[in-house]
Amino acid sequence: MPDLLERRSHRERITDDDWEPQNTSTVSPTLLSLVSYRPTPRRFVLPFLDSKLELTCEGPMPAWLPAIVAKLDELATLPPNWNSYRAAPVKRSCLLASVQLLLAMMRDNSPTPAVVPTSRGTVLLEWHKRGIDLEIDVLGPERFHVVAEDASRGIEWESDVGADLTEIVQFIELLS
Amino acid sequence: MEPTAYTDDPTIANDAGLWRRIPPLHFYFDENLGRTRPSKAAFEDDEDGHPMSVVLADLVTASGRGPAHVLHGHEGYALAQITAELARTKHQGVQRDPLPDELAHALCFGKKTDSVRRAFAKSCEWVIPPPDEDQASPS
Repeated sequence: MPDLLERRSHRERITDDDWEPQNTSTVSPTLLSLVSYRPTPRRFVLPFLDSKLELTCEGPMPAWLPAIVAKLDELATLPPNWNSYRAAPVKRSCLLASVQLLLAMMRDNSPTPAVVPTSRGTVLLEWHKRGIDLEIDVLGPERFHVVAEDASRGIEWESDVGADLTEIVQFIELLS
Repeated sequence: MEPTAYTDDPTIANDAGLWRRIPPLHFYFDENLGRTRPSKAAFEDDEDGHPMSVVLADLVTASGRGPAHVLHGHEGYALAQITAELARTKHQGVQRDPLPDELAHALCFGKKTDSVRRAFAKSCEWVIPPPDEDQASPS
């Protein structure tokens, strides 16, 4: 960067003859609009299950994602009897299904769930906030057992859920 | 395989404490309750269908041991207590099942529905709380 004295010497070289008023507009000659603006998709790679998880996002990676993927990856290393009560190791299919479910239903600002292994080898995703209890037992790909309670609205819901995540997404929205 | 018949033991009083080890992966901070508690996943029957193991608190103390003895060799674990009364109100039974290395061992048998496990998780008390609250944060 030129120092002050150097810049002054440059300025002194400019004269009125250099002034070209037709080139002073601040408006671009070509019209620009943000209405149809699409951010460039960005690719993220996270280590997962002795391999890697590749994601393409429009914008930054959701804040909750890296911690959840790391936690699920950690669960994959649990040995038999990890809870001292003869628990089974966590099933790979449940770990993968957990990531797929979360990517399908979570928004960037969704709260991070507690990730809990069960003695049956499945994965529990739990949220307990804003007066809402939401617990999703990930039994396998598109096989979920869901329990939700919202005391303030008098809602109690327990159901087996498959590919249609509509009701779960509604609870996630209430938690966010 | 023939299902094993279990019998609720009337000599186990309703106010008897049933202790269960809680591994570090099974407790977290519940914002709704404002405290750290176990997940319902901590109160399941064994994967092979064997009933949930507990130890009878009064037998542990009568043998001159304390709760810390139950967690011996289980680093990072906490110890939770439910009462026999709570178990019975949730249609469970309690049967003594002494083991060679733990004479206070007992079984809490009965169908562990989601409702039962959630009741245990929310109503239990810490005998030895989680050693590090940081471990209890979500994920």
